[in-house]
Formats: sequence, structure tokens, C-alpha cells
Amino acid sequence: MITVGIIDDDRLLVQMMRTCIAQVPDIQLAHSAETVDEYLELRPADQVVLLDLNLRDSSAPANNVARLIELGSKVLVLSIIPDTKYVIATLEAGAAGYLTKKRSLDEIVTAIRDVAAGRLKPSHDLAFAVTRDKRSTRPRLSRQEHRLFVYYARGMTLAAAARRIGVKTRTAEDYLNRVKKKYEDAGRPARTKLELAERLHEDGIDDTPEL
Amino acid sequence: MANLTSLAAFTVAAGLVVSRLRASARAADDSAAEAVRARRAEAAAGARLEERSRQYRLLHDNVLTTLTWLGQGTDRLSQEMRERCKMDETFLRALISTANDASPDGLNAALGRVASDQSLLGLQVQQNHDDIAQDLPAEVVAAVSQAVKEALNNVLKHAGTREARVVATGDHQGGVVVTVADQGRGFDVATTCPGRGITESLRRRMVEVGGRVDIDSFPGEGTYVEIRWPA
Repeated sequence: MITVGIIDDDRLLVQMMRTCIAQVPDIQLAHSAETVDEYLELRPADQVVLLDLNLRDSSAPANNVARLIELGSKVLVLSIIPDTKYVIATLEAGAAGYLTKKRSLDEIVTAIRDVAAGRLKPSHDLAFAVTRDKRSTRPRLSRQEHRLFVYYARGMTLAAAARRIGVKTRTAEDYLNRVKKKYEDAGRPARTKLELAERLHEDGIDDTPEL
Repeated sequence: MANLTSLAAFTVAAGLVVSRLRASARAADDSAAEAVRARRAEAAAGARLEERSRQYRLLHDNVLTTLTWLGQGTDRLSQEMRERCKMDETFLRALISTANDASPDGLNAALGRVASDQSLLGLQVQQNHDDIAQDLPAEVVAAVSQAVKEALNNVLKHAGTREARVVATGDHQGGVVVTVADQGRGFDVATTCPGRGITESLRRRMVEVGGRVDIDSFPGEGTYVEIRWPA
């Protein structure tokens, strides 16, 4: 049984997920909340958390992901628009994956199983965000990794993208995982810095000038 | 006396220098304060802009979510209403997906209209746009969107799938690459004779405006159409 939490201020989505998951024998929707703060108050221990990218409390997406991971959950980020900058930030914060809410509920259920089993492939939307990452600090992709991501992001199956760049599908899978890892690794020092900033803030010695 | 006079003169001169110094120090203070004020105003304006774009994003989120669910909904909405929702949702999505300054005459909007027309025919079109020049020549916008429309028609007719992906990106030199990909049944490019609908009219219009079209497909692995301008 996979236990799932959902954090979204869109009640309609939460309700539809609830109805949908109720019919799935191996998944249980254990907790739902509208913000990460509210969710944490429920003292949850869910294997997978579905997290809305843009919560109405204006909390930082990357920070939200980090807090949930600290809890031991795997995080699947959902949003209505694949906002490149924020999607990338959640990937660096260690999110297991990203999907647009445009995907059908069945696909979201499949993704929940894949996340729980640690085998979720990056979605096409996530791959697109990676290929459009223009920050000077972005992780370096090899030429072949970049080519694979471009074709995959444009909607090719992994097999087609692999054939296009002249590698086996297995190799292409390795590329996907390797790039994801590069992003997680790139986010690690930032996560430490984020924690530090949080702690300073909590201790009241945050010296951010007031406007 | 001479000493006194010179002392007095010195005092006056010193006084003048001091008051000049004070004045320029005040001026410096004033301009520093002015600079600080300006910087704060700028930061505040930046923060307001950031806040406003965040609000827009949330607004889009709300409207799009509603339209998405209504469009997919199995409830009591009429078929016509559902289709309308789907069209509006697809169009709005195309307009705002990462392009903050999309013009209604630009390629983003044109592709949005193509995709929303297709959603009426039962094809789900996933879209990603980024960095598209807003000043593409009108005939290029027309030719590219026509080519995309034909490619999507081919997906519906031949691919045996109800889903396609349209990705449009700018190249920073004013050019554009638009691709249409499906994960349907595909075909063997080597043995399928060219000239059948797909290749001919698709290619001709793009070549006329100085662009090109490449098609890649493989049995069981879908079809990939790449539209480039300039060629």
C-alpha cells in the first residue's frame, strides 16, 4: 500500500484525486492540506506527496520540496503551467518528478506508483524545462545528453530520441537519470545554504534590509 | 596689524572653505539620500512587479484549472460547453506558457488557435513555448501555423493516437523551430513514397517563405516533424 499526501489549494483537484484514488486498491490518500505548514501540522508520514508548484501562501516551491523530503517523503510536483524557473528549482531541491495537471488522473496514479518504486522517468515537460535552463550556474550536460533531452522534450518517445542520436534505449535511460542526478547534486549546496538562511531567520538574526 | 589683517583674511577664507565644504557635504548627503531613495523605489517597483506577475500566474492557474477540469469533466456539462472549455483552455495555455509578452498576432497565439481547433477534433495537444520572437513576419507565422495544423491533421488521420506535442522555441537570432511529435504508430520513411499529402504541401509553403520541414518517423516509434525558419 502506497500512502499519499496531497498539498494543493485547488479543492476541486483534491476532491477529484480523492475520488480517483479511492478506486485504486494499492494507493491510499492519507493526508491533504492547502499549504505545507498545514500539512506538517497533520504529522504525516506519507511515502509520496503530490505538491502544487504555486501555492497561494506564496511559499517558495524549492523550500516546500526540501521540507517534505526532510520528512522522508518523495515529492511529485504538479502545476497547471510548467513554469521553467520554478520547475527547475524543485528538481534541484530533490523532487522525484514533475507533471502538468493537464495529464489525466490515470497518468498521475501511474506516476505515483513509479515515484514510490523510485523509477519515475523525467516527464517531457521536465525535460523541456531542463533544455531551457539558461542560468550560468546550470549543471553542464554532455553534448549527447543535451541532444537526447532536446528530442525527448519535443515529444519523441525515449526509443525514438535514442535512435535519433544513435544510442541504445538503455543508454538513453542512463542519460535521463544522470542528468536528473546532476541537478540534484547542483542543488545540494544551495539546500545547505537555504537551511542556514532559514535557521538565521528563525533565530532573528536575519539581516535582510527592509524596504 | 598686518598679522591681524592676514589672520582675519585667513579666518574669512577658512570660513568660506568650511561653509563650501559643508555645502558640498550636504549636497553629497542629499545625493546619497536621493540615490538610496531611488534604489528603494526601484526595489519596491521590482517587488510590486514580481508580486503582480505572481498574481497573474495564480489567476492563470485558477482559470486554467477550472477550464481543464470542466473540459475533462464527466458531469452534467453539455458536450458543447465542454468543447468550449477545452478550446479556451488550450488557447490560454499556449498564450501564457512561459511567454510573458506574447502578442495576439504572434506565433504563440497562432499556435494556440491551431491547437484549440484540434482539441475540437479530439486531439489533445500538449504545448511548450519559449523565447519566440514577437516580430516574426506575418507570412512566416501563417506558414508555420499552417504547417503545424497539417502535421496535427496527419496525427489524427494516420498515427492512431489522440495526443501530440507541439514545442516552439526561438533561437535568439529571430529564427524559430517548431516541432510536432506523436508517439503513435509511425511509418518507415525509407519505403513510404514522398508526395503523399504530408510531405508535399507541408514542405512547399515553408520553403516559399524561406523555411524548411524535416520529417522523421519509424514504425512503432511515432512521427516527428521539425519546422524551421529560416531554413
